[in-house]
Amino acid sequence: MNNSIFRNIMVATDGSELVRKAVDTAIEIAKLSEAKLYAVYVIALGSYYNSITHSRDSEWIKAIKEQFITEGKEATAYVENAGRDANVEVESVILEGSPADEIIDFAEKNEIDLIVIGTKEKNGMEATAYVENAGRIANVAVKSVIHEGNPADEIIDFAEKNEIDLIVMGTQGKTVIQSFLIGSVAENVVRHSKVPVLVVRG
Amino acid sequence: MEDPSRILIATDGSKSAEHAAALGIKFAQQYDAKVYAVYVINVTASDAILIDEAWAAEECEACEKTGHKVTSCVVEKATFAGLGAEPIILKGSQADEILKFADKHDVGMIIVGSLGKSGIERLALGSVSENDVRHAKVSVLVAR
Repeated sequence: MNNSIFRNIMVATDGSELVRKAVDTAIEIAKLSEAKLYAVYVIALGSYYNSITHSRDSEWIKAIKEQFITEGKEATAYVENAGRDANVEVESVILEGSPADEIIDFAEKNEIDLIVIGTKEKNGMEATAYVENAGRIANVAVKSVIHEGNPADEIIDFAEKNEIDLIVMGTQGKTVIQSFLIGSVAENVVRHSKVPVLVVRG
Repeated sequence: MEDPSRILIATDGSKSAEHAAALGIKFAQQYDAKVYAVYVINVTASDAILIDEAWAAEECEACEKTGHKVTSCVVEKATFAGLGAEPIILKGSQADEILKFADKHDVGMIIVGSLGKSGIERLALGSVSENDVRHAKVSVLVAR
């Protein structure tokens, strides 16, 4: 492809299996258009800062951040390796902040002409990891379970099958339900990006 | 994403649809894909407003003319780029029809402009595009 339509492509990765398809697609398009590919991972500490301000110490935040940095390096390294195999130049970028904002901002500043993003995000895993961490600190045993399907049905079904005595949930259920259709980061990027966005089904 | 051998370009003749078409054709070239240039006549919108049947029929005819014009414009560009292309005019709710067609015709990628003709500026994303992204089983490229 000589009349290269894309010179700078970026793919957003959260390090989960769910973005593999988006990464594959991004590499394929980068190869076809002989473009440079930026593999972007965003460390999103926002929700952690907000929810633990008074009760938890900074050590914990530091530990979580370290964990994110490691994950970010692994996530972008995966793209780099895939790029090497396909003969695509990949640059790894690790940012910190609100994922959608950072992705859009980076795209604008680096003359990105296509953003590739998956529809699914590891909301579930991140959410359960959060409960696990909080449980560890409070010395409460936590078992993480991730189900796919209609959230209400799955929750009720699980509770019935596992002799659950109490279900605790927040009131802002809408975002949970939405995240099953398309991740909130992908949604925000599609809404606010000035750069074309390719949403890849996971 | 599998290599899309069929690409759907949604157009309404607007500026952003034009961008989408240009981008879509380039994508189709990369994959040597067939292009469906799709225009949807939004009958649900006119149904509620138009009482006079004769007028409705006239309006419909005008819409079809517009549809032919804008789809053949995309087809022409695609053909010029050496691609197989087909104009498609559908009637119904835009998002639903686009998705239904994509499903039925094994479309691998849908390309839409970010703002529809009636684009509401307060949303960066037109409602048609948003529905597409939410419900499509295929990859959706939102052009800017």
